[in-house]
This record gives sequence, C-alpha cells and structure tokens, in this order.
Amino acid sequence: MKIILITAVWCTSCLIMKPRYQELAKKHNITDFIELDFDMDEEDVESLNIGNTLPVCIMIKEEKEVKRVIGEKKVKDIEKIFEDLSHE
Amino acid sequence: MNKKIYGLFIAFLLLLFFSSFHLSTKAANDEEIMVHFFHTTTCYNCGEEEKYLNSLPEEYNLKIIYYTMDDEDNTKAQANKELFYRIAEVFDIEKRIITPFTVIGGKSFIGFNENIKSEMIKYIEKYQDVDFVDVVQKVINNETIDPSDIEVDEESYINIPLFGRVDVKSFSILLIAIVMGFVDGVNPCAMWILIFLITMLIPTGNKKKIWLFGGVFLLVSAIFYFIVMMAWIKTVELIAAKQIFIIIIGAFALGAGGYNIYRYIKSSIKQEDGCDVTNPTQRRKISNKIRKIINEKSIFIALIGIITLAIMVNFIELACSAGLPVLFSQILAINDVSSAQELIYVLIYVLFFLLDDLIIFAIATFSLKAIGISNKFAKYSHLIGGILMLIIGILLLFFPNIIMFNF
Repeated sequence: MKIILITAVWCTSCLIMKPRYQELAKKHNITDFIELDFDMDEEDVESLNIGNTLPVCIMIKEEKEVKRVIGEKKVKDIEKIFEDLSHE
Repeated sequence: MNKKIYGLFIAFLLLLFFSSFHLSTKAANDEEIMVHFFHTTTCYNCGEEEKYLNSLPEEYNLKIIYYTMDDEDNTKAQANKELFYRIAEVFDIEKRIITPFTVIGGKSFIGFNENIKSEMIKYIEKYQDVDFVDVVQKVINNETIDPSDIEVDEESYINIPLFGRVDVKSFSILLIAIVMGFVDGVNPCAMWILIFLITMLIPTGNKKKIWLFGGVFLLVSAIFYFIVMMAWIKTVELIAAKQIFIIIIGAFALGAGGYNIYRYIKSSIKQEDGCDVTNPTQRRKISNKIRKIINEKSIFIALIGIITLAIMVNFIELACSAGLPVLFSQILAINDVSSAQELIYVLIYVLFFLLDDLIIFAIATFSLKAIGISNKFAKYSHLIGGILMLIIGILLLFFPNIIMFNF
C-alpha cells in the first residue's frame, strides 16, 4: 500500500495528525509513504484535487485510490482503516 | 470521552457566562426633593433626561436644579464644573465631565437609560417616606460629608470566597471579559501564523530566536488588538447610549450569532475537523514572507518584518473575530465604566484572547516542539461564540437593564 499525506506547516490539525499517520505507517510496515506540503508542493497537491480541508491522507493500492481520510481523526479510527486495507 | 470533555467545557463556559448575569430585583415626606442635574447643551441624553424629569408627576414634589457646564456665561459654567468635580470626589467617581450626571439625596446617577429611570423613581419614592441628606447642598454649604450620607446599594455587592466582598457589576464584566476573550482567542484565524513561525524556527534549535520572534509577534498582536478595541470603545462611547445604535449592535449580534451557529452546524454535518484552506494564494504569500523573515541575517530587519507581519495579519484577520470584541466594547460603553476600568477589562480580554497562543508558544520555546490545538476547539468556539452573541443580542434589544448590571 502507498500513502500520500498532504499537510501544511501552518495547520494545527496537521501537527496533530502527522505523527499519528507516521506511526501507523511504521507499525504496518508501509514504506511507500509520501509527504506533500500544501504550499511547497503546489503542483503535486493541485493534481490530487484535495478540496478545502487539511490534512488529507490518500491510500493507494495497486495504483488505485482506495481511501481518502480528511481532517482530524481519532487514532483508533485510522488504525481501523489501516487494518481493513491491509486485510483486503 | 472527548465528547464528554467538550460538553463539560462548553457547559463550564456557558455557566461562567450566565453567572455573570443576575436577575433584576425595588418607600411621606413633605420635604421638597432636590434633583441636581449636571448637563451640557450638546449632550443628547441630557435632553432626554430633562424631558423625563419634567414629565414626572407633581406629587413627587421635585425641584430640579440645573447645572449647565457649557453655559454661555463662562464664569457660571466654570463654577458648575468645579462643583461637579467636588461632587464627583464625594461619590468617588472619575474626575472627568460625564453628562448627564444627576444627584438625588445621597444617590448619584451617571448617564441616562431605562434602568436609571427606574432607579431614580426608586430613590424618589424612598425619600418621600424617609429622611434623607441632600449631599450636593452639603457640599455647597461646605459641610463635612459623612460616609452614611452616601447611598450604597447593598444588593450590588456579593461575597465570593477568596475575592471577599465584590461589586456585582465589576465582577460580571470581569467574567464576561474572560469568557469572551477566551472564546475569541480559540478562533484559529491568526493562530496559524504563530504555528508557522514556531514550526519554521524549531529546526534552527535557537531558543533565543524563538523567544524573540515569537514574543515580538505575540506582543505586537496584543498591542494591535488592544488599540483596536480601545479605539472602538471610544467611538462607541460617543454614540453608545443612543437607542438606535444599541438596536443596530443588537441586530448585528443576532446576525453574527446566527452565522457562527450556522458554521458550527455546517462543520458538524461535514464531519471534517481540519484546517480550512480557503484563500490559499494569500496564505502562500504570507508563508513566503515568513520564510524570508526567518532566513533574514539581520535581526533588526527580521524584527521589523515580524512587526509588520503581525499588524498586517491581525488587521486582515480582524474581520474573522470582529463580532466578539465589538460586543464586548459595547458592553463596556453602555455600562459607563471609568477609563481606568476600561483599560483593565480590555487588558484582561486581550490576555485571555492570547492565552492559547501563549501556551503553544511557551511549550515550543521550552521543549522545542510545536503542538497543535485541535480544530475541534475552533468548531466549538463557533458554537459558544454564536450562543454568546445571540444572548447579548437579545439582551441589548429586549432586556438592556440586565446587561447594564444595575440591580
């Protein structure tokens, strides 16, 4: 599974969510973990059509987007998403 | 669990806010009752009070004595002003000309509104039944004023553990300053700049630089907010007592309250608690400016950059939280608090407005770690702010006596 995480330096929710995603990626041995900055990686971010809320976590399996998590979520909720996707 | 904490947090803030309001609660002497009426010819409320006093029934046996402080006869005006200052000293009120200023027996009244009308009647009726001291006459006669000559509203004082005996009005306004300042501060409008600054500075590991840049940013933000609020209060004071202005502000409060609650409902339906990326172009421009400032070799130029940035951002983002400072300024203005009290209340408001920023800043400087405050707080700040605005709007429009804390 591949993860694309879009955050911004100024975003408080991103400060909360970024370590959560990083930890879960580590736990689930996801090495393909790409972090994009909303301001610095403008072109890449625009191509992903992320809408108006940050952070955005896009989960990709076999070159297809399978899940998009937007905004702040509890650890147990994203943990469940990771687990479900791992078992698919 | 989190929901319970948020629920308790909202309940606490609302309780604190409601506790600042207190439900309103009301005595034949053949002696003529002197109404000493200090006024100016240009003051709108003086004209309103004069009409009111002259409309009072004859059985009250009133004698209105006029003290015109901008009389065409300069000597007379000066004498009236001097008397005003002597009376102000006796009643322990600020020594500046405030009109209308009325003294009946041992009771003084600053300003004129519905609540003051009923207060005047209360004392006039009381003095019809009991003996009273005409304090102004005693001052004119150069007699010594006994503390018991001055009327003290015992109902307006309460005993609070740790604080002791406190004036309900002052305490109510203090609570409102704390609650409104805090709710206003949780609004994330200007916080993102601080977060950005801290996050960019932390990798440098330079605590001094974080202290200096972050500290200057917060200090300038505080001064800017303070100046804007004081300027607004002074503007409001000129027109505050005019009924039409109170109606406009009340209607504004209802509108702004409704909008905030709409924002809360919208974000609740969306179920996406995150950072809003509206106006990304402007945000990117500001972000780039911050990067330049941080990389600036000259500390002096960098500080000028930080100061400019703080003023610019707070100015742009003022619209984001304009509602609460405007309403707080209105509350101070209609309560006729002294200039010194205004300063203190606004300082308290600004302190609580910056409280969350100060916490984040302190953690960052001591631990070199940036922490984020959940945007869920921002969502709930819309709810609490919206409810407060609706309450203040309803009070201003329909129950102004309650918000003037004259019980």
